[in-house]
Amino acid sequence: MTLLYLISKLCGVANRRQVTFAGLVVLLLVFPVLSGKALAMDGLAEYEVKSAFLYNFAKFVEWGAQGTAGDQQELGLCILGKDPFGGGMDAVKGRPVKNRRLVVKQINGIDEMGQCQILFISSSEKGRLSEILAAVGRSPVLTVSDIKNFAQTGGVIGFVTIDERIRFDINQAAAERADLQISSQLLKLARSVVQ
Amino acid sequence: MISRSGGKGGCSIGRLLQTMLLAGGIVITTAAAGWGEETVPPNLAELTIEELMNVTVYGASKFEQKLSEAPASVTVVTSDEIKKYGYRTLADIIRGQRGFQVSYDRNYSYVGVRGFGRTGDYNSRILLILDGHRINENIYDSISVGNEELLDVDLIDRVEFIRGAGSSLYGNNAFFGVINIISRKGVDFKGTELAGSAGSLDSYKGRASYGDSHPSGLAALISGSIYDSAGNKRLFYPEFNDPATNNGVAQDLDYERSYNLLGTFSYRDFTLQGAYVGREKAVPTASFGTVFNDPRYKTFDYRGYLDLKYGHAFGSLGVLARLFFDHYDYYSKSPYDLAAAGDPPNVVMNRDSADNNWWGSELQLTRTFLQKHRVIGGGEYQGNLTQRQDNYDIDPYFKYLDTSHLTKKWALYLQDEYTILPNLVLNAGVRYDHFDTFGAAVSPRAALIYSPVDKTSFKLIYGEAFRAPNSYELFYDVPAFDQKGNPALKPEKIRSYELVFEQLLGDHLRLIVNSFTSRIDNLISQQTDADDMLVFRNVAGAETTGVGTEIEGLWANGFKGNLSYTYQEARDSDTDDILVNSPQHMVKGRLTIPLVADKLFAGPELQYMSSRKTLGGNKLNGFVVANLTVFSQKLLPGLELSGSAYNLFDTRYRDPGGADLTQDSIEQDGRTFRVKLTYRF
Repeated sequence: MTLLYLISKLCGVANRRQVTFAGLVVLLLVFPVLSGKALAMDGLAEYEVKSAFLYNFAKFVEWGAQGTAGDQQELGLCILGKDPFGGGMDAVKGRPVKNRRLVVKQINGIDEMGQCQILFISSSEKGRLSEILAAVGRSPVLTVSDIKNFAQTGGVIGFVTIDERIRFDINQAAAERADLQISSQLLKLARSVVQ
Repeated sequence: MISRSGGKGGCSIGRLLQTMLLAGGIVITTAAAGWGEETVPPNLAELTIEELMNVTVYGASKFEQKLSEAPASVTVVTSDEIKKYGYRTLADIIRGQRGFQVSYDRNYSYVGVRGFGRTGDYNSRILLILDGHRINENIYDSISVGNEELLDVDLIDRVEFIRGAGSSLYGNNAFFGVINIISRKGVDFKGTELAGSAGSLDSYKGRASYGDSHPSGLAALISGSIYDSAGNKRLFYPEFNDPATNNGVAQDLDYERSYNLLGTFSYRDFTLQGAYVGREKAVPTASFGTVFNDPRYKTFDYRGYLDLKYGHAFGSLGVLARLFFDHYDYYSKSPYDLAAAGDPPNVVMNRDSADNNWWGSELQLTRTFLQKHRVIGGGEYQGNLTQRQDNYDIDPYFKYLDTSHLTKKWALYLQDEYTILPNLVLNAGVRYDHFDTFGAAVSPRAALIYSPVDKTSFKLIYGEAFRAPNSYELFYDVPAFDQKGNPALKPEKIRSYELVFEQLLGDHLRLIVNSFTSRIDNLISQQTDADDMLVFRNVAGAETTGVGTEIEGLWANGFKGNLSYTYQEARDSDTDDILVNSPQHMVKGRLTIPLVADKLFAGPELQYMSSRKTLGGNKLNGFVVANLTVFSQKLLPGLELSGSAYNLFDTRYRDPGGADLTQDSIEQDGRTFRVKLTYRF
């Protein structure tokens, strides 16, 4: 009500309707705070949701023989470039997938990619993307990124945000190059599939 | 209707600003508190992909990196905001944007930017692009932002407002800025969507859309909309308050009917898009000296195109090619009284029209060299197939004008984005345009983008842009109307310096400060020659200087807000007077407030514009307009319902009129309402 008073003071002759409106606005502002507990499921941090997507991708992708050659206990999810997840990876870290444990690693260069089955390329690497994809070449790695047009540029799975919801594009040709088999279930859910 | 000075007496601009900032402060605090109290989110790792796809996210990526790297000050409006603020037309969207203004004369809407809103100009100093396709037509170079605009706003995915001189990349008309619309595609629908709305002034709109995509790479969207509004039953214009002219009342002359069609089909690298709009509007103002309160006075506008696009990345080389065909047709039916003064009326219907078709093609290549140079190069050609203006009296038939001047133009451009240091980018480009009407126009731009620390960026920009003289100014030659063409016109030129400062404040706020100073030369103005004939000449000049500040916030619970203030001085170079229709202050604020998480939102909007001068030398009072939309989704699966009140306080305000009007200013609508239902299945 202080704000109401203030506005009416400021405007002197103030129009009553405007004051009513201001009051309405204040009420509307206070309401979500009061009902704060209701705000659970939706409106989550983008990268927490993306980390859950990454975990799910692992379930729907089959790596070729070469891709699963290394450590049989771990499935490496590597983040190349500036880590946008913050603590967002905590929920999926160490979770079982394909009889392995999901291990999250931060790497600084493509030469450290040895133990990575999934490579998340941070948007900080946008300027070097073609270089990185060239270096990944035919390595049996599932590349994922939210850099714009990632799948169209030759990455395997590119995140896109539409209407505040996360979608993804899949590049089939890139998946085949990396000897990855992507389940038709995942393909069906993709926003678009690049051949 | 009795005209009285704007409903806003006591609030001075300073006080208003103070209040808004204060309100903004409170908003931010409460929002932060709301987020802090949120319950622990469910364990996301246990959700399926389908479930994850339904979770809404709010993240830093909303502030796309691209925006802070663009060689201009860019802001974006998304489809989500269009729903939550109840925007009906592109004009509604533009009104909320920092530094932009829209005025309406009950026939067309006129966009002003950076204090330049000269009346009588048809929006030719802004370029409108829809999915990469140039929308400005080829007679007046105009864009439409009202119901005669091509795309139903429901089909907009996002609109980018790119401020400043943009001719170095986009050529003609990218004078004060570029409005870039990206439409929703088949993949965004995956089914059928039906929308219906009803509102005040007997306004109804309906839309049916169907879109889908297939893993083979095939995607399609088709959509059709229809709009019908009776408008104001009675409009009173004191200038015509005489028994001979129905005591100044224009009866049932504000109606409007329009329809829009859109089809977008894509297969792999190819996209074919077709768009069409038709509109009929009755004109209540008796503009251009027509007979007052004559129901036969109407304008008709039709605009459409077919555009085939090919885009492919060959390794690091991006290729974009385009082939298009465009259509624009306008005509008016206007009643003129040809009787001499004192004689009984002798009203004759006159038809004025422009009938135009053109085609064009475009090729653009993008490549990164040495990892430091991102180079865009391209070329464009546009050839006009029909470029006809004509004017005649219908009965008794008399031809005043029938002119066809087929013009063509081509252009080449090159831009390099040179990453000198990881945090320092030089963006430099130049474009050469050739018009067969006046010759060449060269438009350079250079921008230095410096990001000293992660969340801060500075941009220093110099750019030149042009507006080519249009066919109307060059060739509309009707001695009987005391108007002659001027084929010797040169393009208008703007030289613009800008400084942009962008700062992310924490994870939720973005601050933009954009100052600019521009000099405009060779402005095309209508003059009266020694022979008493009206003619367009490159005689005027203007200078516009200003600063815009904008703060944008978004929070994880769906709370969003935007507050901007613009100070601008747009002056005539000769007289140093502030231009007509040029407010010096504008304040705009809007909020999205989640009332029930992800289901119910309130969207209040507040827009203030300070006083403006009219052509007649009068001063129109400043005013505040508030809008409020309550929007709900997911109450039932696939259902969205919204209710909006526009001009909630019923503020009386007026927009300056053009020289074609007897009225010096035109009163705008008071409070109106709309309810809208959208169903997806």
